Amino acid sequence: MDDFSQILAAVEAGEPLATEQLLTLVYSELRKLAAQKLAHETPGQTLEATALVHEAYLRLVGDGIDKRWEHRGHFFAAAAEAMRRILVDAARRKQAVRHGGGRVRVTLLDIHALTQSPDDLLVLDQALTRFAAEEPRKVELVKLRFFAGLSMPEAADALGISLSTAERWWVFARTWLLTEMQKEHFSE
Amino acid sequence: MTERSPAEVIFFAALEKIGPEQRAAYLEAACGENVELRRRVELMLEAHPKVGDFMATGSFSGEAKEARLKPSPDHAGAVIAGKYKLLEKIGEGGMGEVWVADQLEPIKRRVALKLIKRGMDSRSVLARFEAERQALGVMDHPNIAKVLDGGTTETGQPYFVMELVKGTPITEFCDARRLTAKQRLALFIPVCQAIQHAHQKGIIHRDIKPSNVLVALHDETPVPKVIDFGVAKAVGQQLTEKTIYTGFGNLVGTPAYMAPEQATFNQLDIDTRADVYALGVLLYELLAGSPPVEPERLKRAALDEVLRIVRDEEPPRPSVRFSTSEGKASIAAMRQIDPMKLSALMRGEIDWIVMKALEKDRSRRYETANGFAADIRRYLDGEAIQAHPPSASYRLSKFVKRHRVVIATVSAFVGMLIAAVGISGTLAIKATRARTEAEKNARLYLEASTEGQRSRLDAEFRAIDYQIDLDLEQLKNDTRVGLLRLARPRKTEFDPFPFQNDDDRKAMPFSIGDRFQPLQEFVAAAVITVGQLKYARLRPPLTQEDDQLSYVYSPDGSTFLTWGPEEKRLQLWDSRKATLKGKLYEDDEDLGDPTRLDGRLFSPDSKTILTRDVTGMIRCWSTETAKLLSRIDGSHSFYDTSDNKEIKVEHVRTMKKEPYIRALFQNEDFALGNNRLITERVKAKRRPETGDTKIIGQEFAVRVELWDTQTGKLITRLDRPESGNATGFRFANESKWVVGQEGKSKVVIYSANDGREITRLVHHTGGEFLSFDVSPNGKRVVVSAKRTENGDALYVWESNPWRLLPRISELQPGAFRQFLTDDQALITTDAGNSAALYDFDASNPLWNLDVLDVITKDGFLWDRFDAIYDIKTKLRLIAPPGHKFPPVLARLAQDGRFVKIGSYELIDSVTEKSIPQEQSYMLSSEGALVGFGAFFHFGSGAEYKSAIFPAPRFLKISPELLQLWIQVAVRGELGPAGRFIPWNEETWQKKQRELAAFTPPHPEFPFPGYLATDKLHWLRAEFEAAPEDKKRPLAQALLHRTEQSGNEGEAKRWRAWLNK
Repeated sequence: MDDFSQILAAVEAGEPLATEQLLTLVYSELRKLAAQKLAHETPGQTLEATALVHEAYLRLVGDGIDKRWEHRGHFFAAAAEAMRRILVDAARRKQAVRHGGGRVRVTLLDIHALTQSPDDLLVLDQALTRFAAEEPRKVELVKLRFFAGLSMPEAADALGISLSTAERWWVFARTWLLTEMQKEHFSE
Repeated sequence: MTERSPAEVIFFAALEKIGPEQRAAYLEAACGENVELRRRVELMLEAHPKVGDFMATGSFSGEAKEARLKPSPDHAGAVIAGKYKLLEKIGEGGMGEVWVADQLEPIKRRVALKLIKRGMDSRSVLARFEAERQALGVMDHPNIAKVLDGGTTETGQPYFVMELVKGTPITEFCDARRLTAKQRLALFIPVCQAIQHAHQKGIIHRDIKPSNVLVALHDETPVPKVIDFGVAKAVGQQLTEKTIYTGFGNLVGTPAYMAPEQATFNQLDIDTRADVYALGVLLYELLAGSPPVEPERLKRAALDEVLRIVRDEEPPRPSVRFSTSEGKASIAAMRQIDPMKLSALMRGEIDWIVMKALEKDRSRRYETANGFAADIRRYLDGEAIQAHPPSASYRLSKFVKRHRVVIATVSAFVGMLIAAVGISGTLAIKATRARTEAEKNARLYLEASTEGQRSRLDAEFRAIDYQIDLDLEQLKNDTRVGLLRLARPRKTEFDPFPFQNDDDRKAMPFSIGDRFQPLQEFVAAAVITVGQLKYARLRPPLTQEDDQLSYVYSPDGSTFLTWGPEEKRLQLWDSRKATLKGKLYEDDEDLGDPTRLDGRLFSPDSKTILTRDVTGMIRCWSTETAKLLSRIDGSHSFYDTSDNKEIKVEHVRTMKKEPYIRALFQNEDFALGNNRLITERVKAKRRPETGDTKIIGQEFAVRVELWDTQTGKLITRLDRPESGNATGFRFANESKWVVGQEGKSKVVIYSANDGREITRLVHHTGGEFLSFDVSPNGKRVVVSAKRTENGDALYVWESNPWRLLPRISELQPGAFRQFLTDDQALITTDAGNSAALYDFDASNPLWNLDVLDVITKDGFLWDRFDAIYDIKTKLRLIAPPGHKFPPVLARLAQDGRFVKIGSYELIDSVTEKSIPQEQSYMLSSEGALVGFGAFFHFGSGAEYKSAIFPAPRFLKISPELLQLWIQVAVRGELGPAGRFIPWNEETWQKKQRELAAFTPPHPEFPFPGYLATDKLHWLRAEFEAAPEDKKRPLAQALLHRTEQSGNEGEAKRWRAWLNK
C-alpha cells in the first residue's frame, strides 16, 4: 500500500523511473488477480478486463480511506497498458498453442479465459500500434476505454482533456481502427 | 492541450459535408497533394456509419466485429439464406427475435423464424446449434411445432425455422375461454405427451413456459403446441458468473419455470426431470393463476436471490397460493367457479399432483412427463393417484438439510434448552418416527442403486446426508447422544470426478469435495459457536446501501466506524452483533460531514473515538453509546493530510476528560495522554501493546523518551550514545523493552523501566537493516537486511543469552513488506506477494505460499488459491461440510467466517445467503469483510450495497480430540447401535486427565465439562453478553443453578462475582 502511494506520488512528481515501476506493479497485480480468478472460474470463461482493473485499483489504492482521485489518471494509464499487454500476450500464446506450440493444458485454459478471439485482439493490437505512430494521445484514450474500461468522463479526466474532446477522439479512433482492421481482414 | 491532427480536423469537417460531391470537393481542397491522408479519411468516412458500438462495449469479440461490418438482416423484407423473407416481428426475447417469414423455396409457405441474438453467436454456439438442429428434425408429434430448417445467416447469426403456430399462450387461452380447472387439466395432458415424445427422442426442452406452449383451434378443438424445442440448449451457456453479470438475457430457462437443478452454476446435469418440473410450474399457473414464485418478486430480486429462491424455497401449494392471491375473485371467475370452491377443489389431490412435479429433489418428481399425465388422467377419471402428501418426517429432513449449519448451532442451543425443560411426549415420538424413516431412507439409498459407480457414490452421499440429518435430529432429542454421534469420524475422502481421466483431473483447478470435508470441523464450529461465549449468536451480515463505504476498526475489533458518500453520517457499529450503536454528530449533520472531517481516531482502549471537524473542534465520543463525552475548543493544529494517513499534532494543551487519543503519525501508531497531551516538544509517540500508561516520545529522530500518560510526566530518556537516526522505536516483550533501530545497521534494545540499554544487535556484514520484529515474548528478534544487489538476508537473534542463529533465509531484494512472528514461527512476505512460513526448529519453510493475500489480525492467512491457514496451529483450515462451495473459493472474514467472494458473487457460509451486491467486494486489511459496490458504474440502475460480517469462528479440531472432548463434556460414550452409555465417576475422571494431556487447538478451546446439558450454558452466554447493569440477576441465576447441581467450583466463581 505504502509502496503504491509512494510510486504514485513519484509519478505525480514526474520521476522518470516511476512510471515503469507503477506499470510493473499494476501489471503484476493484474496478473495475480487474473490467475486467481482463473483458478476459480469455469474453463472457457472470459474475464472481464474492466472488472479486473477495478479490482486491482481497489486493492492497490486501498480500502476507501480518502482516495486521492488525482492519482487515478496515472493508475488507469498504467492499468490500461498492463491489461493490453496481458491480453495481447495471452492471444499470442494462444496462437502459438494453436500452431503446435505449447502442450500444457493449464496454459490453454488460461488463455481461453482471457480472450476468445486472439486473432482479432492481435489485429487490434497491430492496428493500435500503427495508430500510435500517428495519434499517440488518442491511443491512450482507446486503451483507457477499451482495456481499462473507463467511462468517457473518467477517461477524459485521466487524460486531462474535456469530455467533448474525448468524445470526438473516441469516434475518430474507433473509425480509424475499424478501417485499419477491415484492411487487415480483407488482406487475410 | 487538445491538439488536433490534420486527419482529425479533415475527418470531422468532411462529416459535416452532405453528399458525396461536396465531400469529394472538400477533401480535394483539404488534403491537396497528400494522397495517403485523403485515402485514410475516405476510408474512415466510409466506415463511420458502421462504427456503431464497435469496441464500445468494453469487450471485444471477433464475431461481433464481423457482424458489425455487415448490415444486419433484421428488418422486414430482408431475405435470410436466400429463401426466407422476413415479414413481421412477432416476438423478442432474451435469445433473439421471432419473425413471421415467407419461405420462398422449395415450397412456398409461411413459417416462424427465430433469429438468435448477436452476441450469442459464438463459434461454440454455432457448433452446438448445428448438432441440435439435426436432433430436432427427428421429432414428429402433433403437439410439437416442427422445426423445419435452421442455419446461419450471411452475417453469422444462427436461425431456426419452425412451423408457424397461430395460437395464444396456454394460460391466456384458458383464461380467455374461461376453461374450468378440469378442462385445463385435460388440455394439459397432451402437453405432457408432447414433452414425453421429445424426451424419447433424447431432447430436453429446458424452457417450458406459457409462451412456449401455444394453443390454436383446429376445427373448434383446442390443440396445444409446444414450440422452441431445444433452442435453449443450442444457444445455451452454462450459468457462469459472466451470465450473472450480463443479466437474465443469457440464462438458460426462465427463472419462474426453472427447475432447482437448473438454478446452479453447473447445468451439465440437467435431465428430462427438469422439464417435468417446468410442466409442474405451468400446471400450477394454469390452476392457481400465478406460478409458484411470483414473477414480480423474481423481477425485483437480484439474480443470486432468484437462483436461491428457485433452489431452496418451498412453494406454497396451489390451493394456498390461490387463496392468498389478491386477484382471487377474477382468477376463480376465469375458471367459472366460486373462489371458495376452487380452493377446496385444489386442496388435496390436485395440490399433491402439482407438488410432486415440483419436488426440489428430482428423484421424487414424476419420473416421466407421461407419469405426470397419467396421474392427472387418474384424477380426472376418479382413480387413486400416485402422488401423496409429503410425510412430516420427509419435510423435516428436508428442512434440516437446507438449514444444516444454522440448525446445528441452533439445535445445540435448543437441544440444551429442551434437555433442561424436558421433551414432551409427542415431540419425542415424532422425532423417533422421523429418525426411523430417515434411517430407512439411508439404508435404502445404500442398497437400492447398484448401477455403476456414479449412482453408488451418489447413494453414499445421500446416505451421509441422511445420516447427518439423523444425527442432527438426535441432537435435538438428546444433546449428549447428538453431539457424540456428530463427532464420530466419518468417511470423508472421495473423488469428485471418478469418471474422468488423469489429464482432466489435473486440469481441474480445484476439487469440489465440499460437502464431505471432515465433519468434525463442522461440529467443532457448532460446538464452539455455542461453547465459546464470545460468539453467542449468529447474526446476519449488515448491509448498507451505499456505493462506497469507508470504515475504521477500533483496536480491539469490537467496534467500527463507517461513513460513505450516501450515508454521510459517521455510524458506529458493534462488530460482533452487527448492530448500529449510534451515529455521531446526530445534531449537526453539516459539521459531521465525513468528507469534511479532518480525522477520526479510536483510542487505544477502544472506548472512545475522536473527531475533528472543519471548525477545528475536537470531539470525543463514547464508542459504547455514541454519545459526546467532551469537546476541545479550536485552534489545535490537528490535521490529517489524508493521503498518507498523516496526522500532525503540533500544539495541544491539557485536556480534561479524554482518557486516550490515538492518532497516526506517518503510518505509525502513537498515543496521546490519558489526562493530558504532551506534545509540544515530542513529535511522535507510540503506545505499548499492553494497558501500560507509558508512551514513547521521539523528537526529530534524536531524542527518545518515555512518558507517563497518567501523570503527564517524563519517566526517562533513553540512554542513547548516538545522536540522530533513531527509527522505529516501539515497545516489545510485554512492554518490558523499548526497541528501535539506530543508524543503518543496529537494533538496540532498551529497558522500558529506566531507559538503559540492554543489548545491541549488529551484524558483521554491515548490510543496511530494513526492518525488524520481536517475537511476543521477546525470545527472538528478526531483522531483514540488505545484503547484496541480488537478495536480502534474514537474521534471527535469540535472547537469553543473545546469539545470532544461522541465517535461515535469502530473500528477494526489498522482500519485506511485513512479517509476523510468534515464538515458533515466522512469516515472511515480499513485494511480489509470496509468503513463507518458517519454523525456527526446521531449516526449510513449512509453507511456501505462491501469493499471499492477507494475514488477518487473528493470524489467519490465505494464499492465492484461497487456502486458509491458521498461523497459530499451522494448519490449513477447511470449510465445514454442508457448504456449497469448496474452501478454495472461500475467504475468511476477521473472525473466521468463510465467505465466498468473487467479482460477482458473495455467499455467507454460515447463513448460506447470497450477499446482495453488484461488483466488487473486498476484505479489509484486518481481514474483516467489508463490501463495496462498484465505484465505477458501467451497467445501469445498479443498486449499491456494502456488507459487514461479524461471525463465529471455525476451528480445525482432530477427530480424536473432538470425540474425547465431547465424551467428557457429556460424561459418556456411544455404545453399539448408537446407545448412550454414561460413564461412572472414575471413568470420567480418567478421561478428563486424558483430555488434559492433549494440546488444545486454540487457547479458547472449551474446558471439559464446560458444555453443560442444562440451561447453565445459555445463562453463561447471556451473562457475557449482558451490559454491566444487567449482569447481576444472571449471575444470581447462575449461582443458584451451579449450587443446585453441586458444581461447587463454578458456584464459587459466581459467589465471588456477586460479592465483588
